[in-house]
Amino acid sequence: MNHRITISWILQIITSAILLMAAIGKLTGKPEPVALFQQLNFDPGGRILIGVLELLAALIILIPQSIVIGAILGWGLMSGALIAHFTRLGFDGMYGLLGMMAAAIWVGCAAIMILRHDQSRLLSAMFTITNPERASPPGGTRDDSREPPDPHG
Amino acid sequence: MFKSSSKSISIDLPRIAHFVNALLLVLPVLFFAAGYYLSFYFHFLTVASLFFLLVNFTYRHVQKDHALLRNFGIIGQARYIIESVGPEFRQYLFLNDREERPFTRTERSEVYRKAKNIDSTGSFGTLLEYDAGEIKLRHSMFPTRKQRTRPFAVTFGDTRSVPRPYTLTKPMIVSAMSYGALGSRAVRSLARGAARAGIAMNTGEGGYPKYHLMEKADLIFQIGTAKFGIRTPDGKLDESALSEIVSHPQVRMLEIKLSQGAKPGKGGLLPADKITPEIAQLRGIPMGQDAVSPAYHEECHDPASTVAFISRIQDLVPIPVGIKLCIGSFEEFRAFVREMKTQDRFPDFITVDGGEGGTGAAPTAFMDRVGLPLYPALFGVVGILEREGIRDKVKVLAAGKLINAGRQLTAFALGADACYTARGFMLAIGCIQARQCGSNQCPVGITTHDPSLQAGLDPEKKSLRVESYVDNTLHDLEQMLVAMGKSCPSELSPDDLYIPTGSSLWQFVEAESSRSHPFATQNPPNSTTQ
Repeated sequence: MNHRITISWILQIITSAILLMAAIGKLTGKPEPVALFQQLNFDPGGRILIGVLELLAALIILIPQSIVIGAILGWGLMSGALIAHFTRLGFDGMYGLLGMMAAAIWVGCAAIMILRHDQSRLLSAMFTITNPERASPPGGTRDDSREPPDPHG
Repeated sequence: MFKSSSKSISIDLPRIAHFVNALLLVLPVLFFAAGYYLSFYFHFLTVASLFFLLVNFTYRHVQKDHALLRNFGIIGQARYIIESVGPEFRQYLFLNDREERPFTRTERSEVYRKAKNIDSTGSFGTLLEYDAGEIKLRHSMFPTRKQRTRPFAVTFGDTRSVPRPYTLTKPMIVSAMSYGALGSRAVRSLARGAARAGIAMNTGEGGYPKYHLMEKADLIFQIGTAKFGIRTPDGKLDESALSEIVSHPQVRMLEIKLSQGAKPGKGGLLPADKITPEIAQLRGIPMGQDAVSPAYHEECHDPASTVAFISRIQDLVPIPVGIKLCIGSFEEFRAFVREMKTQDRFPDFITVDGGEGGTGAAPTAFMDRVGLPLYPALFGVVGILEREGIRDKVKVLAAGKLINAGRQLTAFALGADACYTARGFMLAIGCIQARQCGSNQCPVGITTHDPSLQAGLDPEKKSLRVESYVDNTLHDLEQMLVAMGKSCPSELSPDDLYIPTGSSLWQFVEAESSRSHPFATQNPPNSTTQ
């Protein structure tokens, strides 16, 4: 249990840092992202929108109550990025590095979702419970609010 | 696969689910194509639909816990989502004013109005079914003259001449709720309110009453079966710790809890992760392991040893000592009373807890099925004490949903000397009956230790509510006493009640008044009662 939380936190911090860098690049209008989004015919509206969402994901993935939502958001953004690489951008030169980073965040977010699946009803129902002693997670969401009461007076 | 027998338009939920499942396969492809050929913006939808496709796939083909999700996929979650807000919706919108349990909205609103000091006059008649099973009070043609009313006073421990007897001047007492069951702010609100209102407060079995002692209220210290706060490491009575607690001038009486209405015959269990260093210290238990309260006191196996245990504690402390129990069998209670007479030692008071009692978190099986309801139990206990001739030696307190003057007067008429209520006071400090007491997630911060939830509870403001609740309830009680032509609650008798046949009390009172013994069914043949 505690190992899972520790690994998740490490992934969250790495993911958050990369997302934050990417978001700042997009929002400040650095030439590389501008060129990239122009190639997708997605500039400036899409660039700003993606930048804001990446910033949001980078923040809420560090807030205990919204880690899972942040991971889902980050996963979705990176899925979009990977679609862009596969369909329009390719993986040559700089795009190869950016594509690898997107893939890394995609994997990281997916791992966070799996590690913390018991904090979200939507996700926890995806897995068959194999471990009967499911302790409630520290700082978790209020999703499990209908636990049986503590039988103490 | 789909049946469409009727021609009328109807919502076929399984069919919608199958449609959604098929749609989720198609949508990502459609959106991807749109994103590729039309605008990259469509890939937002591609990604979202891919996510739901993935979730739906695992629901239907990976997980095995939920049959509904396996058969119908993500749409099946709607059922769980809607069901999860069901209790709130029913309480807010759909449940009738008289339908909720354990307290109906009518009853709760009454307490809220009293606590907030709002006029509680109603118009156009009662909302209760007046001629149904509820017990009514009989008023007199000649209400009490003003000069005849007497102030309420019940003294405990005077017949045994204890060094520090205690006199109640108001008939309401805050019933046993421990620090642990309640958060520290709730304890302080109640204690401060009790001090303002001039009533006593029971500490519950939570060990050393640290937060209770921070306010000025008179305290009744409760000794639970695990003897929290006064136990030796192996669970025996720690006499020096007991004398230390009793040495506080605020601690006015002791109550030995033999059983509790919410879970008679059952101890409690505090899981290891809920034991904070503070709780471990106050209760005198080790950290890191579950704290189990046994179902019984180590010292008490039969009437003789129980009376011996009570008198042992009475000899140790200079204050009145009583017991609290929920009645199971009158015959057992009678044997217990006879043993008191044999040893010539009597508890200074007996608290009769009705099986409907309920602040303690308890297994539903126990809450629902175990323990006599308060009114028959109280009637039986008082009857046995009178018949055995020791009613004057033992005061009787009643507990169990006595949240308003009508119920309290019923208890007085059945022989109680004073009334305990716990949930009445919880309602007064803002309980909304969310019934989350055991989950540490009380939305109004009463039964939780979560600082963010307790933040909403201001002890100063809430203590004023407690005071108003007591004042207004006692005002009702006094007015009703006047209407009944009595000058003091102790003048009431079962004859002042109108008990319809629909009430469970009826058979007991009827059997008593027709002179056949109401508790005779289990009597051994050679018994010398009557």
